This record gives sequence, structure tokens and C-alpha cells, in this order.
Amino acid sequence: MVTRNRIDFKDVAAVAVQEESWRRMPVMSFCYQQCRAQPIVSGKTLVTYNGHVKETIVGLQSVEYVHSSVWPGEFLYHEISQFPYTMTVTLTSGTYHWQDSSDVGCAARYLLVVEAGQYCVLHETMQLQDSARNLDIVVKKGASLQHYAALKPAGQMCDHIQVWVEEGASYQQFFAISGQDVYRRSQCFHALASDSQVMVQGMVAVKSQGFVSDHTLLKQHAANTRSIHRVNTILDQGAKADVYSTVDVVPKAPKVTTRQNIRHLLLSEDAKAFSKPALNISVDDVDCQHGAVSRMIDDDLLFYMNSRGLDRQQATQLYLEGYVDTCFKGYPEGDRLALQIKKAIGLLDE
Amino acid sequence: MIDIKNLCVSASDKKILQNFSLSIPLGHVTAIMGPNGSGKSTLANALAGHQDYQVSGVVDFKGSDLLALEAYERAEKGLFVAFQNPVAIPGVNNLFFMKTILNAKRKREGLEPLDASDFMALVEEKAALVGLDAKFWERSLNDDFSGGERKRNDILQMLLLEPDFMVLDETDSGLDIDSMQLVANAINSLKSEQRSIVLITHYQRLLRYVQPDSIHVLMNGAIVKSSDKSLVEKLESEGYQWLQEIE
Ligand SMILES: Nc1ncnc2c1ncn2[C@@H]1O[C@H](COP(=O)(O)OP(=O)(O)OP(=O)(O)O)[C@@H](O)[C@H]1O
Ligand SMILES: [Mg+2]
Repeated sequence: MVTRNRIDFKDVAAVAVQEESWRRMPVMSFCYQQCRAQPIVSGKTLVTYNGHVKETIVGLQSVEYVHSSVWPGEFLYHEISQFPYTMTVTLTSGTYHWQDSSDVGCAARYLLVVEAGQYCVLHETMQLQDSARNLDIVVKKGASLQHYAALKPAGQMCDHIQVWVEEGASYQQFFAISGQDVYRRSQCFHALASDSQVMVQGMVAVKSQGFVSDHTLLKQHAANTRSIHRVNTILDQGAKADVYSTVDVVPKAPKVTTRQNIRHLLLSEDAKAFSKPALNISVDDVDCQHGAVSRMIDDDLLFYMNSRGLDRQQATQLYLEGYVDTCFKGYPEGDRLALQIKKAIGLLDE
Repeated sequence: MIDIKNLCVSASDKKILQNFSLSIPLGHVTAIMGPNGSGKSTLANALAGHQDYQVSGVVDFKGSDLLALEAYERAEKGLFVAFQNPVAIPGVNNLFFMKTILNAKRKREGLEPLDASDFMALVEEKAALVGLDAKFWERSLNDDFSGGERKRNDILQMLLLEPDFMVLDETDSGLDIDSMQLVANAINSLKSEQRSIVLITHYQRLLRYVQPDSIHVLMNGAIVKSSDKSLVEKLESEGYQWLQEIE
């Protein structure tokens, strides 16, 4: 049996054209097939390689993990979105672990569906290399997904994430991005109906001329929806991060709440940061706050620590450790992500 | 202990201290008083090695050239400045900070780091002396602390580090009457033949609890009067104007 579930968001396309900041965000249309979507067993680790399920998990067929298709080589969503999903799974209440890795040049396309009313925690580790990926997630009515994303891309990586959050459902993404190559990510979150909530927060640590470009569109389609987007970066040794965050509240959607915050911490003179927080709101009755800062560690703080006998390196480390811990504080299971960032900035050995 | 000769300090091309000279013997408590803006904090900050100040002159500290040392090396050598406005460091846990600076010092002295329970016992003992308690351990360093709490937190660090040369910049300002008494006792507990203390203050009260051996009045970047503790009462009743007239 094939059920087709098509959601057509013309507005997304319109925004993509209008918004200069959103130039890179592809026009997305969406359909998913539930025919092969099978529940996977909670507590087991799902391993995907080159876009396919590598290990047999109850209910999922194991596929030869040849390249799923030729990597389009460009930052084009259209190309990948033509492929069929290489993995489709449904999640019911439970905790899931997912390891996603690849050879050079793969294009992977995943669909995760959280069934209505289910409460799921997903721990993802992404280690794709020179690849393109599209991850679609649907959080159905009244369901909740806590998505911990440990992103460790290598080479030139493009990631397209799109999440639909139905009525009364919530999607929370806690992410850590670390690396020293090029990672481009465009994410689009749809708070579709009353009481749907989207929270995306995390940390980026890049060094050695690495570049992260993170585009996020939070689209609030209905009244009484909430979104939070918070990004903290730590940039060292000529690294660069561009963070775009757009909150888009459709007309006639009052009583929405949005929070947006982008903070860059530059550790070297040659690091570069760019932020573009944007709010597209055409109704009055909204509660929104946004802000962005880029800065280096305040010399007065370092001096204070120096005056207590810590040298510059010790003081900097202590400060960064506190900074990372603060960012991940309040994430119920954020320790692993904090560890990833601490390793990436040299506070801990790899 | 410390011998300051012709210290000149400027910041953003403004000359603040000019040919400041002062010798502080071992075991002495020295008070420095003076009107707002006379350069007292600048002296404390310049001694601590703050990056905003350009300095010249000679400061001999326990036989070495203090001005040639980095800020952390000055602390390593036993200098401690309790700042007029201790900064807040969001994210850096207060207790962890104390543990880090204490263990860094122990390491320099070739001692093992204190284990968690010994450290807690020590912190609680010292904290009781300045009226701080466990409520302050989980918070970020000085973050959202009241003015008086920051001052007491600085003194707590000082009690843990047991430095040989202490400069307390208006530690008494902003302390309530009971806290002042506590802090004064804490300072007295560190007094010894081997340590020197400089108290920068505007008020007589602290000097009643911690008796100074000498008092110096700083005006416009230089010492204009040095005397014994009897000077305090005259300053308290007459202010600084008469000193300007003598000048
Ligand atoms: N970093 C700086 N840049 C420019 N001017 C400074 C700087 N630090 C201090 N000053 C100036 O130097 C003078 C002395 O300041 P200082 O803080 O040393 O005074 P003080 O004696 O401690 O005063 P108070 O009793 O108010 O604490 C003031 O006029 C002050 O504005
Ligand atoms: Mg002062």
C-alpha cells in the first residue's frame, strides 16, 4: 500500500525568491511514501553508509551500500530531491542512535517520520565526506523529537534539512558542528499548526581556514506557534562562519513567539564571522526577540584570571570551557555535543 | 618587600601617576588614601600588570623587576590585588575557578592538587570567614553578584592563595557593617612578619579594624603626605583640601 502525503508550500518558494539572504535555500516541495517505512527498534544503533542502511535492523532491509547516486557536485537541492529516499523510517517512542558516514562523493536522502503522539530522542552522528545529503523529518500530531546532531563533516559537504512539525508537536535540534573544511547547510523548519514548536540551538567550532555556512529558515505557518534559534560559534585560525537565520511568520498568524540569537566568538585576528538575523513578520500580535554579536574574548576577563596566577593559555581555556558548558547547559543530553566541541577547540584530546 | 621608584603610569596618553615612589617593608600594613581620581586604582592595576597602562620607572619586588613580568608571573611571585570592581566572568564556575587557581599555585610549589573533599573543606572554612556559602559555588564567577559579594569573593580567593603582598583597592566600599568586620578579621588573619598589605580606602572604619603602620596621601598622581595612623582622623574631619594648600 502506498500512501502519499503531499504538502505544498508555495510560500516557501516565494520567500526563496524574495529574500536575498535566502538565495541559497532551495525551493522545496515535499512528498513521502510510507510504503517502505518501517519502525526501527528503539535502543539499537542505526548505521547508514553511503546513504543506505548498513546493518540489518529489525524491519529494515539491508541494502548493498554502493553509492546511492552520483553526487551533483553543487549546492543544489533540486538535484538530490529528484532521487528517491535512500532510507525511510518511522520512529515510535524511544531513544535512537544513528551513525551516518560515507565515502567521497555520495548523495544520500533520508526520511524520518515520528508517529503521532510519540516521544523520541535521536542521537545522530554525521561523518559524511565530500557529499550531499537531504534529511527530511516529519513530526506528526502531538509527537515530540529531540534530535541531537553531532555533525562532523569532512571535505566539501552540503546538507539540506527540512522538518515539518504538525499540530501540537515539537521538534528540538541540539547540534554541534566541528571541522576544518567546508560545510554548507540549509535548514527549513515548518511549524505547521497551532502549538507546534521548533527549537534549534547549538554550537559551531571551526578552525584552520574552515568554513561553515549555516542557513536556517523558521517558518511559522499558524497562530500560537513558537520558534527558537540560537547559534554560538568559536572560530580560530582563519576560519569563517556565516550564519543566516530567518524567521518567517505568515500573515494572519498572531500570537507567535520567536527567539533568535547568533553569537560569534573569534579566537584569532584572521577569523571571520557574518550574521544575518531576519524577521519577516506582518502581524502585530507577536513576541519576538533577536540579536547577533561577534566578539573576541574580553582582555579584562583574561587579565582578571592572569592576576590570579593563570597564564594566557590557561585563562583562555578556562573561559572557553565555561563558554561551551553554558551553551550546552539545559540540554537534557548535551554532554556528548559539548565534548565534541571541546575536542574541536583543543580543550580535550581527540 | 616592594620598592617603587619614580613610577610613571599613563593610559590613553593621560598621565596618571608621576614619579610615584614608595617603599613597603615586610610585615607592614600601609594605607593609601586620596581623593577620587587621584590614581589609587591606577597604582593597583599597574602593579598587577593591566594591559591598558603604559608604565615606566622601577619596581623591585622581592629582588626582581616587577614591571618586566607578565601579570600571571606577578601573581605567581605572590602579588594579589583585590580590585575595586572585580569583573564578572559568565560561564566560568566560581568554585571551579577557585580550585583551578589554588591547584595551579600548588603545582608551582610542587604540591599535589587538593582532592575534592579537602578542597571543599578548605573553601568552606575560608568562605565562612567572609560570610559566603554554598549558594555561591554553582554560580558563574562574580556574575550577578552584588557589589559587596564580589568584594568578599575576591577576599575569599586571597584567603585561599595566601599571597605575600596584598593590595586591597577599596575593599571596604560597598560592604555592610557586619561584612566589613568579617573582612577586616580575614585580612588580619593573613597579617604576618612575612607579608605586606596595602589598603586603599576612603574611610576610617576599616583602618580601625586593620591598624596601618603608615598612611600615605595620594593626590594628582603623587604622594603628598606620609604619616602614621593619627593622620586618618584629621583627613576624616578636614578632607584633603588643606593638603592641597600646603602643596
Ligand atoms: N584606562 C584608563 N584610560 C583613561 N583614563 C584612565 C584610565 N584609568 C584611569 N583613568 C583616569 O585616571 C585617573 C585616576 O583614576 P583612578 O581610577 O586611579 O582613581 P582613584 O584614585 O582610584 O579614584 P577613586 O577613589 O574614585 O577610586 C582618573 O581621572 C581616571 O579617569
Ligand atoms: Mg579607585
